[in-house]
Amino acid sequence: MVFSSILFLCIFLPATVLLYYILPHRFRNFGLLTVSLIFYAWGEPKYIIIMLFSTVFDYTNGILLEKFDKKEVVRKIVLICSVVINLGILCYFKYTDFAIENINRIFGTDISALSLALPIGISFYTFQTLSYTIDVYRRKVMVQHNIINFGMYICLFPQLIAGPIVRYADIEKEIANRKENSDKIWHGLFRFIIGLGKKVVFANQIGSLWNEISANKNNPALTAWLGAAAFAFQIYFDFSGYSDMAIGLGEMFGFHFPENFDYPYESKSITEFWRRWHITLSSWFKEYLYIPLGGNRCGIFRQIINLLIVWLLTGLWHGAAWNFVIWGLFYFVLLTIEKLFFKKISEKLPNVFKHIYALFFIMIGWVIFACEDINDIGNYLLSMFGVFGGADSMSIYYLMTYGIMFIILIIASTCFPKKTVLALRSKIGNKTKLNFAAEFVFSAIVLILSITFLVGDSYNPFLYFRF
Amino acid sequence: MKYIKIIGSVFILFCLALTGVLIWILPDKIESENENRILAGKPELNAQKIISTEYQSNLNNYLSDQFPARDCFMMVGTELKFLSGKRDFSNTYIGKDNYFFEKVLDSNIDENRFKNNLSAVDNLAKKNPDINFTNILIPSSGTILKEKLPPFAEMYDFQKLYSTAESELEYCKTVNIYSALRQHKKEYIYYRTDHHWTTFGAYIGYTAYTGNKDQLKQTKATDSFCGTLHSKTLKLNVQPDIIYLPEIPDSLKITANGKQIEVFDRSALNKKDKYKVFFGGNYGIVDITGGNGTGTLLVIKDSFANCFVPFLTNDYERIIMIDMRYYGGSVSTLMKNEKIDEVLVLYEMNNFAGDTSIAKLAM
Repeated sequence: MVFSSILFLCIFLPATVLLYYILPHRFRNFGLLTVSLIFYAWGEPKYIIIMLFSTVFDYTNGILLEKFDKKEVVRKIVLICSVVINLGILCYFKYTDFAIENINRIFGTDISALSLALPIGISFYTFQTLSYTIDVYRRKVMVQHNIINFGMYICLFPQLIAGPIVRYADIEKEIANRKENSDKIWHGLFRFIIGLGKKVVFANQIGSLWNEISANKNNPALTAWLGAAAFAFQIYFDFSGYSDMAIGLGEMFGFHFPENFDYPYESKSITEFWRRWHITLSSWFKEYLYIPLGGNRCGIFRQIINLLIVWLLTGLWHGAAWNFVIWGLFYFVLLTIEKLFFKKISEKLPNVFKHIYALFFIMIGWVIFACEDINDIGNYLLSMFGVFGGADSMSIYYLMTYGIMFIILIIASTCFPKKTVLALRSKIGNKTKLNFAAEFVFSAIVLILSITFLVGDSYNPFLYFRF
Repeated sequence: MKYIKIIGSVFILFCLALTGVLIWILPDKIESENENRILAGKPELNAQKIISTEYQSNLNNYLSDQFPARDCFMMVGTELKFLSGKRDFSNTYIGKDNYFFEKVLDSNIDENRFKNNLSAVDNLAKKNPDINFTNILIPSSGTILKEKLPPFAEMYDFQKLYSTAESELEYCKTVNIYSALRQHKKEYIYYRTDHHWTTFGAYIGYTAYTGNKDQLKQTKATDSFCGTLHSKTLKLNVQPDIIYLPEIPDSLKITANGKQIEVFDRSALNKKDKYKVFFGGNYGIVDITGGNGTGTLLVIKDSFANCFVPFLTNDYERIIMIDMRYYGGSVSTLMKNEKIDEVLVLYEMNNFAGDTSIAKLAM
């Protein structure tokens, strides 16, 4: 089930909130676990077995780690078991066909593909459950003895299918003991509606421009750049919209999920971009891969190798295809260059150049990300560099028909709207009633707009089925 | 303050839930005239359909198809996007002077299929050297009336397709009707709200084909036709179209797939798709006898021929129309059995380029 559907908005969401709040506190986790399982089974009635297996498996691992607290060898074996089996399941579903395809290509063999459908959200919940076992191993979190509580953490529907990746440590305390209140309920609902609007009103609308332009080959440069910008906005508003919806839903049930996006297109460097984009993924890789590999503590050469490993895997995490590998390597190269040389140069450059520099490479990156066929990437990049002409009549047409939308999206992807609201608020003083009234009217408008576009449009893609 | 926030949250969630309940209890609509399709009904619940996720997707379709005031929401959606500058919706341009156009770019034309269809026609002509073959491709309205397209909008390169047709067709004559239509670009040659040409547009095509310059005699049948292009956008403030009917001989006898029909099906004028007034729509085979001319003409066609063929009843004794999308028989056999004297292949250009049934001509 996706959040941006009538089913979720008009049936699942009200029913879940109602159920949650009529249950006494001690049954609420069980209630959340139940609705989460229904939510997941709705889209993946067969693959729910895999998620349940992961849950029971890592619950057991936690117990074992506690039981053999004094025996380091056993603890290591349990940890390795957990990592190997969790990643094994993930790789089996996600990368087997990709591997077979490449083996066939290289060795000329004819192994038939498994043609498995990828269980939705598997990359997200695998990373979540790994964070638990590893942190228990590191003695950073307590073992969870209650399987209902643990199951609810793994299966919790708000962040289940498109993140953010909530580490066990992030909500350890809130699992057992959290306080719901009217502020959180309202703020969560408000955040959810804003996220829904970002997805349906912004991402879906601009996404249709990218679809149209990328279907053509040999575009003139202006058209190609408009297309790349359209995709950049589509993926940002779609992904951050999903995160907003997840964080908002979590808040309605009393959780505080970590933030996932921090106005990434305001970045002045690629390093900064990755501190602001899909924050929970980058910090997961940093915490559980980059630092254990030695991070930057073993000399510059080792650091570069570590970065290479991290970015290859980050690329592959986004999908089993070569374009994602190239995309990961692309960022590895940029980040390494920035690490080695950027500090000296950037001090002298005016900010405007830094923004242009960062956005230029981010957009090139999105083209690589969006074109699954390697040949399409080449053709599209050539288009962007004007090999097939600068502009034609249709470029102007796209500019004219999407110009206002682009202006709105540019403003909406900066912190300007938020700052304006905060400035207004401090000007009129902290009048909570007025604040609430404004929020209420705004969210009602966004909700009605979202439903308008949801009902009328057939284009409402789920972009993360490859993650 | 605490309570206000709770009340606000509950109110929004209650409205959402109420909408869900309304979808379920309000009577289901059977079909959408605007989209010309049957709407999804309440899905049937069983375990197998849940496991295959068929039930889930059926339920999704049901909820969005039966959403209260769905057409209203769609109209508002179009108006908002129109306000933001967007000028094409579901591959339909909203042009100037209340004109709607099918949006077809070069990249939408499958040149290979276009050539294959041409060679299917050409092979048939080659096999029947004694019979005159003519191919007429009608350019899409947006190419003839390009001044009425939204600013800077483009259409496919129809001249290139005409020259491809001329070079590919060796045994079949090509009639380029662009300039004939273009001369009348200020007149009412295409419907504003529909992709078809008007009776007057068809008449111009007819004079180009036959060389016949008789005065056009037509009578108004309706002035409230909102065609399929408008339906795709649901734009407000639409100016409905007028359908005129040409004068035809009284002596005509027509059968469609063996059943007797009339040239003009006036009952269609009370329905949504009023263009169906011509023959009542498309059939596999339509046989028209009792015309004022001589000889037998075979017309291989799409719906653009439906308002064109009535003119030909003044020039031929008998006309057989076949629509390859619905006609299952062999065209060669038909031509022998019915002693066809002349063949006309009449399609809208983009339809011809995209059609998958023309290849059956080889059968």
